Amino acid sequence: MTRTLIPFGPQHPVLPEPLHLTLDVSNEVVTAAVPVFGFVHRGLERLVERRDFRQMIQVVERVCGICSTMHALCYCQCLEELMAIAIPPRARYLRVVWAELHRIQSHLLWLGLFADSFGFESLFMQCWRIRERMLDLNQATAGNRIIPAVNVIGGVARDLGGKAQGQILTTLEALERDTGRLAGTLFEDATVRQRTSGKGRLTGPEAYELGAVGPTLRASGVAQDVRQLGYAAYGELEFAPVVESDGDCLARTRVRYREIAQSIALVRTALERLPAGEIAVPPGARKPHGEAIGRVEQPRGELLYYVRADGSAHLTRLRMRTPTFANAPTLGAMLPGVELADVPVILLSIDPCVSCTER
Amino acid sequence: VTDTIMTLANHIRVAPDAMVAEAARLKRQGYRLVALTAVTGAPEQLDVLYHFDRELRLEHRRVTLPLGAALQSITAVYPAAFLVENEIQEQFGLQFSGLEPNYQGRLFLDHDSPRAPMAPAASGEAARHPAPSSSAAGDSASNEGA
Repeated sequence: MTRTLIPFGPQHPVLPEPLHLTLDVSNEVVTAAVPVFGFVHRGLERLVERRDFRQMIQVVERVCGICSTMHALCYCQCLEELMAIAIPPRARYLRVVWAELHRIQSHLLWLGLFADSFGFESLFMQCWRIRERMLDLNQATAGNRIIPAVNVIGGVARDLGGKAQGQILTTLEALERDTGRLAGTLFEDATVRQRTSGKGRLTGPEAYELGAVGPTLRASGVAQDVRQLGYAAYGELEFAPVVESDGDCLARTRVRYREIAQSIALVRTALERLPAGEIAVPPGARKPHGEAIGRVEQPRGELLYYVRADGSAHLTRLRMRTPTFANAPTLGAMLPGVELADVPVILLSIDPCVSCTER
Repeated sequence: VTDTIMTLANHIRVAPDAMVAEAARLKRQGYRLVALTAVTGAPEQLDVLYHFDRELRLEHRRVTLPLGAALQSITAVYPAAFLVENEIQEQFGLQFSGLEPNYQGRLFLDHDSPRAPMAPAASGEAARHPAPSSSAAGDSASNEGA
Protein backbone atom coordinates (compact mmCIF):
# COMPACT_ATOMS: atom_id res chain seq x y z
CA MET A 1 0.00 0.00 0.00
CA THR A 2 1.62 3.21 -1.18
CA ARG A 3 0.20 6.42 0.17
CA THR A 4 0.51 9.44 -2.12
CA LEU A 5 -0.68 13.02 -1.78
CA ILE A 6 -1.82 14.30 -5.17
CA PRO A 7 -2.48 17.97 -5.84
CA PHE A 8 -5.54 18.08 -8.14
CA GLY A 9 -5.85 21.53 -9.75
CA PRO A 10 -6.02 24.49 -9.60
CA GLN A 11 -5.08 24.10 -13.27
CA HIS A 12 -6.59 20.88 -14.54
CA PRO A 13 -8.05 20.07 -17.99
CA VAL A 14 -11.44 19.29 -16.46
CA LEU A 15 -11.75 22.50 -14.46
CA PRO A 16 -13.19 25.59 -16.13
CA GLU A 17 -12.29 27.58 -12.97
CA PRO A 18 -9.41 27.20 -10.52
CA LEU A 19 -10.12 24.88 -7.63
CA HIS A 20 -7.66 22.68 -5.80
CA LEU A 21 -8.20 19.34 -4.13
CA THR A 22 -5.55 17.72 -1.98
CA LEU A 23 -6.15 14.04 -2.63
CA ASP A 24 -4.80 11.40 -0.30
CA VAL A 25 -4.45 8.37 -2.55
CA SER A 26 -3.56 4.81 -1.71
CA ASN A 27 -3.02 2.44 -4.66
CA GLU A 28 -5.12 4.61 -7.01
CA VAL A 29 -7.98 4.80 -4.50
CA VAL A 30 -8.79 8.11 -2.83
CA THR A 31 -8.83 7.92 0.96
CA ALA A 32 -9.40 11.61 1.77
CA ALA A 33 -9.98 14.87 -0.10
CA VAL A 34 -9.64 18.44 1.16
CA PRO A 35 -10.82 21.33 -1.06
CA VAL A 36 -8.64 24.45 -1.25
CA PHE A 37 -9.95 27.74 -2.60
CA GLY A 38 -8.61 31.28 -2.86
CA PHE A 39 -7.37 31.53 -6.43
CA VAL A 40 -10.03 34.02 -7.59
CA HIS A 41 -11.27 35.56 -4.32
CA ARG A 42 -12.43 39.15 -4.94
CA GLY A 43 -14.01 40.26 -1.67
CA LEU A 44 -17.13 41.54 -3.45
CA GLU A 45 -19.15 41.63 -0.23
CA ARG A 46 -17.16 44.63 0.92
CA LEU A 47 -18.00 46.64 -2.18
CA VAL A 48 -21.16 47.76 -0.33
CA GLU A 49 -18.90 50.34 1.31
CA ARG A 50 -18.25 52.01 -2.04
CA ARG A 51 -21.30 51.29 -4.19
CA ASP A 52 -24.75 52.36 -3.12
CA PHE A 53 -27.55 49.84 -2.84
CA ARG A 54 -28.77 50.48 -6.41
CA GLN A 55 -25.30 50.09 -7.95
CA MET A 56 -24.86 46.82 -6.06
CA ILE A 57 -27.26 45.14 -8.51
CA GLN A 58 -24.56 45.41 -11.18
CA VAL A 59 -22.00 44.04 -8.72
CA VAL A 60 -24.02 40.98 -7.67
CA GLU A 61 -24.87 40.21 -11.30
CA ARG A 62 -21.14 39.83 -11.85
CA VAL A 63 -20.49 37.44 -8.97
CA CYS A 64 -20.95 34.68 -11.53
CA GLY A 65 -21.57 34.77 -15.26
CA ILE A 66 -23.69 31.64 -15.30
CA CYS A 67 -26.24 32.54 -12.65
CA SER A 68 -26.15 36.34 -12.82
CA THR A 69 -29.93 36.77 -13.05
CA MET A 70 -30.43 34.68 -9.92
CA HIS A 71 -28.01 36.80 -7.88
CA ALA A 72 -29.80 39.99 -8.91
CA LEU A 73 -33.19 38.41 -8.20
CA CYS A 74 -32.15 37.35 -4.70
CA TYR A 75 -30.63 40.76 -3.97
CA CYS A 76 -33.67 42.66 -5.25
CA GLN A 77 -36.02 40.48 -3.19
CA CYS A 78 -34.06 41.36 -0.03
CA LEU A 79 -34.11 45.07 -0.82
CA GLU A 80 -37.83 45.00 -1.66
CA GLU A 81 -38.45 43.38 1.72
CA LEU A 82 -36.46 46.06 3.53
CA MET A 83 -38.13 48.87 1.57
CA ALA A 84 -41.64 47.35 1.85
CA ILE A 85 -42.19 47.19 -1.90
CA ALA A 86 -44.72 44.76 -3.39
CA ILE A 87 -43.80 44.24 -7.03
CA PRO A 88 -46.52 44.13 -9.74
CA PRO A 89 -47.90 40.71 -10.79
CA ARG A 90 -46.50 41.02 -14.33
CA ALA A 91 -43.01 41.55 -12.91
CA ARG A 92 -43.34 38.43 -10.74
CA TYR A 93 -44.16 36.33 -13.81
CA LEU A 94 -41.43 37.93 -15.93
CA ARG A 95 -38.91 37.13 -13.19
CA VAL A 96 -39.92 33.46 -13.46
CA VAL A 97 -39.51 33.53 -17.26
CA TRP A 98 -35.98 34.94 -17.14
CA ALA A 99 -34.95 32.83 -14.15
CA GLU A 100 -36.02 29.62 -15.88
CA LEU A 101 -34.42 30.59 -19.21
CA HIS A 102 -31.28 31.19 -17.18
CA ARG A 103 -31.52 27.80 -15.51
CA ILE A 104 -31.83 26.10 -18.92
CA GLN A 105 -28.64 27.66 -20.27
CA SER A 106 -26.80 26.89 -17.02
CA HIS A 107 -27.86 23.23 -17.05
CA LEU A 108 -26.86 22.92 -20.73
CA LEU A 109 -23.49 24.45 -19.93
CA TRP A 110 -23.07 21.91 -17.15
CA LEU A 111 -24.19 18.96 -19.30
CA GLY A 112 -21.48 19.93 -21.81
CA LEU A 113 -18.77 20.33 -19.16
CA PHE A 114 -19.82 17.06 -17.56
CA ALA A 115 -19.55 15.23 -20.91
CA ASP A 116 -16.11 16.80 -21.29
CA SER A 117 -15.11 15.45 -17.86
CA PHE A 118 -15.38 11.88 -19.15
CA GLY A 119 -13.88 12.75 -22.50
CA PHE A 120 -17.05 12.75 -24.63
CA GLU A 121 -16.13 15.74 -26.79
CA SER A 122 -18.90 15.47 -29.38
CA LEU A 123 -21.55 15.35 -26.63
CA PHE A 124 -19.93 18.41 -25.05
CA MET A 125 -20.17 20.25 -28.37
CA GLN A 126 -23.78 19.22 -28.95
CA CYS A 127 -24.82 20.52 -25.50
CA TRP A 128 -23.07 23.84 -26.07
CA ARG A 129 -24.49 24.10 -29.59
CA ILE A 130 -27.98 23.79 -28.13
CA ARG A 131 -27.08 26.28 -25.39
CA GLU A 132 -26.27 28.88 -28.04
CA ARG A 133 -30.00 29.13 -28.74
CA MET A 134 -30.53 30.29 -25.17
CA LEU A 135 -27.75 32.87 -25.38
CA ASP A 136 -29.25 34.23 -28.61
CA LEU A 137 -32.57 34.39 -26.81
CA ASN A 138 -30.98 36.31 -23.93
CA GLN A 139 -29.66 38.81 -26.42
CA ALA A 140 -33.00 39.15 -28.19
CA THR A 141 -35.09 39.55 -25.04
CA ALA A 142 -32.69 41.19 -22.57
CA GLY A 143 -29.98 42.75 -24.74
CA ASN A 144 -27.10 40.68 -23.34
CA ARG A 145 -25.96 37.17 -24.12
CA ILE A 146 -24.46 36.33 -20.73
CA ILE A 147 -25.78 38.83 -18.19
CA PRO A 148 -29.45 39.55 -18.84
CA ALA A 149 -29.68 42.53 -16.49
CA VAL A 150 -33.44 42.45 -16.07
CA ASN A 151 -34.01 42.68 -12.31
CA VAL A 152 -34.36 46.05 -10.63
CA ILE A 153 -35.56 46.98 -7.17
CA GLY A 154 -39.33 47.08 -7.59
CA GLY A 155 -39.71 44.72 -10.53
CA VAL A 156 -38.02 44.17 -13.89
CA ALA A 157 -36.36 46.57 -16.31
CA ARG A 158 -37.73 45.07 -19.52
CA ASP A 159 -41.07 43.86 -20.74
CA LEU A 160 -41.73 40.98 -23.10
CA GLY A 161 -43.99 42.00 -25.96
CA GLY A 162 -45.86 39.64 -28.28
CA LYS A 163 -42.92 39.32 -30.67
CA ALA A 164 -40.42 38.47 -27.92
CA GLN A 165 -42.83 35.96 -26.41
CA GLY A 166 -43.22 34.32 -29.82
CA GLN A 167 -39.43 34.13 -30.15
CA ILE A 168 -39.17 32.45 -26.74
CA LEU A 169 -41.83 29.88 -27.55
CA THR A 170 -40.27 29.06 -30.94
CA THR A 171 -36.83 28.66 -29.37
CA LEU A 172 -38.22 26.44 -26.60
CA GLU A 173 -39.81 24.19 -29.20
CA ALA A 174 -36.47 23.73 -30.96
CA LEU A 175 -34.75 23.30 -27.59
CA GLU A 176 -37.18 20.59 -26.56
CA ARG A 177 -36.51 18.71 -29.79
CA ASP A 178 -32.73 19.08 -29.45
CA THR A 179 -32.48 18.11 -25.79
CA GLY A 180 -34.83 15.16 -26.44
CA ARG A 181 -32.19 13.77 -28.79
CA LEU A 182 -29.56 13.89 -26.02
CA ALA A 183 -31.47 11.47 -23.76
CA GLY A 184 -30.40 8.29 -25.54
CA THR A 185 -26.71 9.17 -25.29
CA LEU A 186 -26.85 10.56 -21.76
CA PHE A 187 -28.76 7.71 -20.18
CA GLU A 188 -28.39 4.63 -22.40
CA ASP A 189 -24.89 4.85 -23.86
CA ALA A 190 -22.76 2.13 -22.28
CA THR A 191 -19.60 4.25 -21.95
CA VAL A 192 -21.49 7.14 -20.32
CA ARG A 193 -23.20 4.80 -17.87
CA GLN A 194 -19.87 3.19 -17.05
CA ARG A 195 -18.46 6.56 -16.00
CA THR A 196 -21.54 7.88 -14.15
CA SER A 197 -23.67 5.06 -12.79
CA GLY A 198 -22.87 4.24 -9.16
CA LYS A 199 -20.10 6.86 -9.05
CA GLY A 200 -19.85 9.41 -6.26
CA ARG A 201 -22.78 8.04 -4.33
CA LEU A 202 -24.28 10.26 -1.65
CA THR A 203 -27.18 9.01 0.48
CA GLY A 204 -30.14 11.23 1.35
CA PRO A 205 -29.24 11.53 5.07
CA GLU A 206 -25.60 12.32 4.16
CA ALA A 207 -26.63 15.00 1.66
CA TYR A 208 -29.00 16.56 4.19
CA GLU A 209 -26.54 16.47 7.07
CA LEU A 210 -23.79 18.02 4.94
CA GLY A 211 -26.10 20.88 3.97
CA ALA A 212 -26.18 19.97 0.25
CA VAL A 213 -28.48 22.00 -1.97
CA GLY A 214 -30.02 21.92 -5.44
CA PRO A 215 -29.63 18.97 -7.82
CA THR A 216 -26.90 17.52 -5.55
CA LEU A 217 -29.49 17.22 -2.75
CA ARG A 218 -32.47 16.24 -4.91
CA ALA A 219 -30.54 13.47 -6.71
CA SER A 220 -30.21 11.81 -3.29
CA GLY A 221 -33.97 11.65 -2.83
CA VAL A 222 -34.55 14.82 -0.79
CA ALA A 223 -37.43 16.83 -2.28
CA GLN A 224 -36.27 20.30 -1.34
CA ASP A 225 -36.27 23.26 -3.70
CA VAL A 226 -36.57 26.92 -2.63
CA ARG A 227 -39.09 27.48 -5.44
CA GLN A 228 -41.54 25.47 -3.32
CA LEU A 229 -41.81 28.55 -1.12
CA GLY A 230 -43.49 30.37 -3.98
CA TYR A 231 -41.32 33.48 -4.44
CA ALA A 232 -41.85 35.55 -7.61
CA ALA A 233 -44.77 33.70 -9.26
CA TYR A 234 -43.74 30.12 -8.45
CA GLY A 235 -46.56 29.85 -5.90
CA GLU A 236 -49.07 30.17 -8.75
CA LEU A 237 -47.39 27.74 -11.17
CA GLU A 238 -48.03 24.38 -9.46
CA PHE A 239 -44.32 23.80 -8.91
CA ALA A 240 -43.05 20.43 -7.64
CA PRO A 241 -39.33 19.62 -7.35
CA VAL A 242 -37.58 17.07 -9.59
CA VAL A 243 -36.22 14.23 -7.43
CA GLU A 244 -34.10 11.14 -8.14
CA SER A 245 -33.10 8.56 -5.58
CA ASP A 246 -29.83 6.89 -6.63
CA GLY A 247 -27.56 9.68 -5.35
CA ASP A 248 -24.84 9.03 -7.97
CA CYS A 249 -23.46 11.03 -10.89
CA LEU A 250 -26.10 9.57 -13.21
CA ALA A 251 -28.90 10.64 -10.85
CA ARG A 252 -27.51 14.17 -10.68
CA THR A 253 -27.46 14.22 -14.50
CA ARG A 254 -31.06 13.02 -14.59
CA VAL A 255 -32.21 15.73 -12.18
CA ARG A 256 -30.65 18.50 -14.26
CA TYR A 257 -31.85 16.99 -17.54
CA ARG A 258 -35.41 16.73 -16.23
CA GLU A 259 -35.19 20.25 -14.82
CA ILE A 260 -34.59 21.56 -18.34
CA ALA A 261 -37.97 20.10 -19.37
CA GLN A 262 -39.51 21.47 -16.18
CA SER A 263 -38.12 24.96 -16.87
CA ILE A 264 -39.52 24.85 -20.42
CA ALA A 265 -42.94 24.01 -18.98
CA LEU A 266 -42.69 26.75 -16.35
CA VAL A 267 -41.80 29.38 -18.96
CA ARG A 268 -44.71 28.30 -21.17
CA THR A 269 -47.18 28.42 -18.28
CA ALA A 270 -45.83 31.76 -17.04
CA LEU A 271 -46.19 33.27 -20.52
CA GLU A 272 -49.70 31.84 -20.92
CA ARG A 273 -50.79 33.37 -17.63
CA LEU A 274 -48.72 36.56 -17.91
CA PRO A 275 -50.85 39.28 -16.29
CA ALA A 276 -51.20 42.67 -17.93
CA GLY A 277 -50.03 45.82 -16.19
CA GLU A 278 -46.93 47.56 -14.91
CA ILE A 279 -43.52 45.84 -14.80
CA ALA A 280 -42.04 47.81 -11.90
CA VAL A 281 -42.87 50.03 -8.96
CA PRO A 282 -40.46 52.95 -8.70
CA PRO A 283 -38.90 52.85 -5.22
CA GLY A 284 -38.69 56.66 -5.15
CA ALA A 285 -36.54 58.12 -2.41
CA ARG A 286 -37.06 55.19 -0.04
CA LYS A 287 -33.92 53.75 1.56
CA PRO A 288 -33.53 50.23 2.95
CA HIS A 289 -33.52 49.80 6.72
CA GLY A 290 -33.17 46.65 8.83
CA GLU A 291 -32.01 43.07 8.30
CA ALA A 292 -33.37 40.59 5.78
CA ILE A 293 -32.67 37.17 4.38
CA GLY A 294 -33.47 36.29 0.79
CA ARG A 295 -33.43 32.87 -0.82
CA VAL A 296 -33.63 31.85 -4.46
CA GLU A 297 -33.21 28.47 -6.16
CA GLN A 298 -30.23 28.95 -8.44
CA PRO A 299 -29.35 26.30 -11.07
CA ARG A 300 -26.84 24.87 -8.57
CA GLY A 301 -29.16 25.11 -5.58
CA GLU A 302 -30.25 27.40 -2.79
CA LEU A 303 -28.70 30.87 -2.84
CA LEU A 304 -28.97 32.83 0.41
CA TYR A 305 -28.40 36.55 0.85
CA TYR A 306 -28.23 38.41 4.13
CA VAL A 307 -28.61 42.18 3.91
CA ARG A 308 -28.28 44.73 6.67
CA ALA A 309 -29.04 48.41 6.10
CA ASP A 310 -29.22 51.50 8.28
CA GLY A 311 -31.32 53.78 6.09
CA SER A 312 -28.36 55.27 4.24
CA ALA A 313 -27.42 54.77 0.60
CA HIS A 314 -24.82 52.15 1.52
CA LEU A 315 -25.66 48.77 2.99
CA THR A 316 -23.81 47.95 6.19
CA ARG A 317 -23.48 44.26 5.34
CA LEU A 318 -24.12 42.04 2.37
CA ARG A 319 -23.44 38.36 2.71
CA MET A 320 -23.90 35.74 0.01
CA ARG A 321 -23.99 32.02 0.71
CA THR A 322 -23.76 30.46 -2.72
CA PRO A 323 -24.80 26.89 -3.62
CA THR A 324 -21.31 25.61 -4.39
CA PHE A 325 -20.14 26.79 -0.95
CA ALA A 326 -22.89 24.57 0.51
CA ASN A 327 -22.14 21.64 -1.80
CA ALA A 328 -18.34 21.61 -1.42
CA PRO A 329 -18.40 19.60 1.88
CA THR A 330 -20.20 16.74 0.08
CA LEU A 331 -16.97 16.05 -1.83
CA GLY A 332 -15.46 14.88 1.44
CA ALA A 333 -18.16 12.19 1.59
CA MET A 334 -18.26 11.29 -2.12
CA LEU A 335 -14.57 11.01 -2.95
CA PRO A 336 -13.12 8.61 -0.33
CA GLY A 337 -13.17 5.12 -1.79
CA VAL A 338 -13.33 6.12 -5.45
CA GLU A 339 -10.64 5.53 -8.05
CA LEU A 340 -8.46 8.47 -8.95
CA ALA A 341 -9.74 8.39 -12.56
CA ASP A 342 -13.30 9.05 -11.34
CA VAL A 343 -12.41 12.19 -9.37
CA PRO A 344 -12.92 14.65 -12.27
CA VAL A 345 -16.36 13.22 -13.08
CA ILE A 346 -17.51 13.26 -9.45
CA LEU A 347 -16.14 16.76 -8.86
CA LEU A 348 -18.00 18.05 -11.92
CA SER A 349 -21.19 16.30 -10.83
CA ILE A 350 -21.85 18.93 -8.12
CA ASP A 351 -21.63 21.60 -10.87
CA PRO A 352 -18.95 23.56 -8.99
CA CYS A 353 -19.00 27.32 -9.49
CA VAL A 354 -15.79 28.74 -8.11
CA SER A 355 -16.61 32.38 -8.92
CA CYS A 356 -19.73 32.08 -6.76
CA THR A 357 -17.89 30.31 -3.96
CA GLU A 358 -15.12 32.87 -3.76
CA ARG A 359 -17.22 35.98 -4.52
CA VAL B 1 -45.35 39.19 -0.41
CA THR B 2 -44.15 35.64 0.06
CA ASP B 3 -42.61 33.84 2.97
CA THR B 4 -39.38 33.24 1.07
CA ILE B 5 -38.14 36.53 2.31
CA MET B 6 -37.51 36.11 5.98
CA THR B 7 -36.83 39.10 8.09
CA LEU B 8 -34.60 38.42 11.03
CA ALA B 9 -37.30 39.42 13.49
CA ASN B 10 -37.63 35.76 14.45
CA HIS B 11 -34.08 35.19 15.62
CA ILE B 12 -33.24 33.95 19.11
CA ARG B 13 -30.23 35.13 21.11
CA VAL B 14 -27.95 32.42 22.42
CA ALA B 15 -25.00 32.79 24.81
CA PRO B 16 -21.66 32.01 23.08
CA ASP B 17 -20.91 29.01 25.30
CA ALA B 18 -24.41 27.55 24.75
CA MET B 19 -24.34 27.54 20.94
CA VAL B 20 -22.90 24.05 20.44
CA ALA B 21 -25.61 22.56 22.66
CA GLU B 22 -28.24 24.59 20.81
CA ALA B 23 -26.93 23.35 17.44
CA ALA B 24 -27.04 19.76 18.73
CA ARG B 25 -30.64 20.28 19.90
CA LEU B 26 -31.68 21.66 16.49
CA LYS B 27 -29.95 18.80 14.70
CA ARG B 28 -31.84 16.26 16.81
CA GLN B 29 -35.05 18.00 15.71
CA GLY B 30 -34.10 17.48 12.06
CA TYR B 31 -32.71 20.90 11.20
CA ARG B 32 -30.21 21.37 8.39
CA LEU B 33 -27.39 23.89 8.75
CA VAL B 34 -27.84 26.50 6.00
CA ALA B 35 -25.18 29.09 6.78
CA LEU B 36 -23.38 31.24 9.31
CA THR B 37 -23.13 34.99 8.88
CA ALA B 38 -20.74 37.26 10.76
CA VAL B 39 -21.83 40.87 11.14
CA THR B 40 -20.10 43.70 12.91
CA GLY B 41 -22.72 45.51 14.92
CA ALA B 42 -22.15 47.59 18.01
CA PRO B 43 -18.60 48.93 18.48
CA GLU B 44 -16.10 46.24 19.46
CA GLN B 45 -18.72 43.54 19.01
CA LEU B 46 -19.31 40.82 16.48
CA ASP B 47 -22.61 39.05 15.81
CA VAL B 48 -22.53 35.53 14.45
CA LEU B 49 -25.84 34.44 12.98
CA TYR B 50 -26.58 30.74 12.57
CA HIS B 51 -29.21 29.90 9.95
CA PHE B 52 -30.92 26.50 10.07
CA ASP B 53 -33.89 25.15 8.19
CA ARG B 54 -36.36 22.31 8.31
CA GLU B 55 -38.73 21.80 5.38
CA LEU B 56 -37.56 25.19 4.11
CA ARG B 57 -38.60 27.09 7.25
CA LEU B 58 -35.65 29.09 8.54
CA GLU B 59 -34.58 29.38 12.17
CA HIS B 60 -31.97 31.93 13.20
CA ARG B 61 -29.73 32.05 16.26
CA ARG B 62 -27.64 35.09 17.15
CA VAL B 63 -24.47 34.96 19.22
CA THR B 64 -22.88 38.27 20.21
CA LEU B 65 -19.31 38.40 21.42
CA PRO B 66 -16.52 40.94 21.86
CA LEU B 67 -14.05 41.36 18.99
CA GLY B 68 -11.05 39.10 19.35
CA ALA B 69 -12.93 36.54 21.48
CA ALA B 70 -12.96 32.84 20.64
CA LEU B 71 -16.03 30.76 19.87
CA GLN B 72 -16.49 27.00 20.06
CA SER B 73 -16.76 25.43 16.60
CA ILE B 74 -19.97 23.54 15.80
CA THR B 75 -18.15 21.13 13.46
CA ALA B 76 -18.52 18.38 16.06
CA VAL B 77 -22.29 18.64 15.46
CA TYR B 78 -22.41 19.80 11.84
CA PRO B 79 -19.09 18.79 10.18
CA ALA B 80 -19.95 20.80 7.05
CA ALA B 81 -19.64 24.03 9.09
CA PHE B 82 -15.86 23.84 8.64
CA LEU B 83 -15.87 25.93 5.46
CA VAL B 84 -17.92 28.82 6.78
CA GLU B 85 -16.18 28.85 10.16
CA ASN B 86 -12.82 29.02 8.38
CA GLU B 87 -14.16 31.87 6.25
CA ILE B 88 -15.31 33.86 9.31
CA GLN B 89 -12.05 33.10 11.11
CA GLU B 90 -9.90 34.55 8.35
CA GLN B 91 -12.20 37.38 7.26
CA PHE B 92 -13.21 38.65 10.73
CA GLY B 93 -10.37 37.43 12.93
CA LEU B 94 -12.72 35.45 15.18
CA GLN B 95 -10.98 32.28 16.39
CA PHE B 96 -12.98 29.04 16.43
CA SER B 97 -11.75 26.46 18.89
CA GLY B 98 -12.01 22.81 17.88
CA LEU B 99 -12.27 23.73 14.19
CA GLU B 100 -11.27 20.84 11.94
CA PRO B 101 -9.86 21.15 9.30
CA ASN B 102 -8.39 24.52 10.19
CA TYR B 103 -7.08 26.37 7.13
CA GLN B 104 -5.11 28.80 9.37
CA GLY B 105 -6.27 31.86 7.45
CA ARG B 106 -5.57 30.36 4.01
CA LEU B 107 -9.06 29.44 2.77
CA PHE B 108 -9.56 32.44 0.50
CA LEU B 109 -6.70 34.70 1.56
CA ASP B 110 -3.08 34.47 0.61
CA HIS B 111 0.13 35.16 2.54
CA ASP B 112 0.21 38.77 1.28
CA SER B 113 -3.53 39.49 1.69
CA PRO B 114 -4.71 42.00 4.33
CA ARG B 115 -5.35 40.21 7.64
CA ALA B 116 -9.01 39.89 8.73
CA PRO B 117 -10.21 42.28 5.98
CA MET B 118 -13.84 42.28 7.11
CA ALA B 119 -13.08 43.11 10.75
CA PRO B 120 -13.96 46.68 11.83
CA ALA B 121 -10.34 47.48 12.67
CA ALA B 122 -9.49 46.89 9.04
CA SER B 123 -12.02 49.33 7.62
CA GLY B 124 -9.44 52.11 7.37
CA GLU B 125 -8.09 53.14 3.98
CA ALA B 126 -4.71 51.58 4.77
CA ALA B 127 -6.16 48.12 5.13
CA ARG B 128 -8.36 48.57 2.09
CA HIS B 129 -5.44 49.55 -0.11
CA PRO B 130 -2.32 47.96 1.32
CA ALA B 131 0.75 49.53 -0.21
CA PRO B 132 2.17 46.72 -2.34
CA SER B 133 5.79 46.99 -1.31
CA SER B 134 5.97 48.60 2.12
CA SER B 135 3.22 46.55 3.82
CA ALA B 136 4.24 43.24 2.26
CA ALA B 137 7.07 42.73 4.70
CA GLY B 138 4.87 43.59 7.67
CA ASP B 139 2.11 41.28 6.51
CA SER B 140 4.34 38.29 6.02
CA ALA B 141 5.98 38.92 9.39
CA SER B 142 2.62 39.02 11.16
CA ASN B 143 1.42 35.95 9.24
CA GLU B 144 4.23 33.88 10.63
CA GLY B 145 2.80 34.33 14.07
CA ALA B 146 -0.61 32.97 12.99
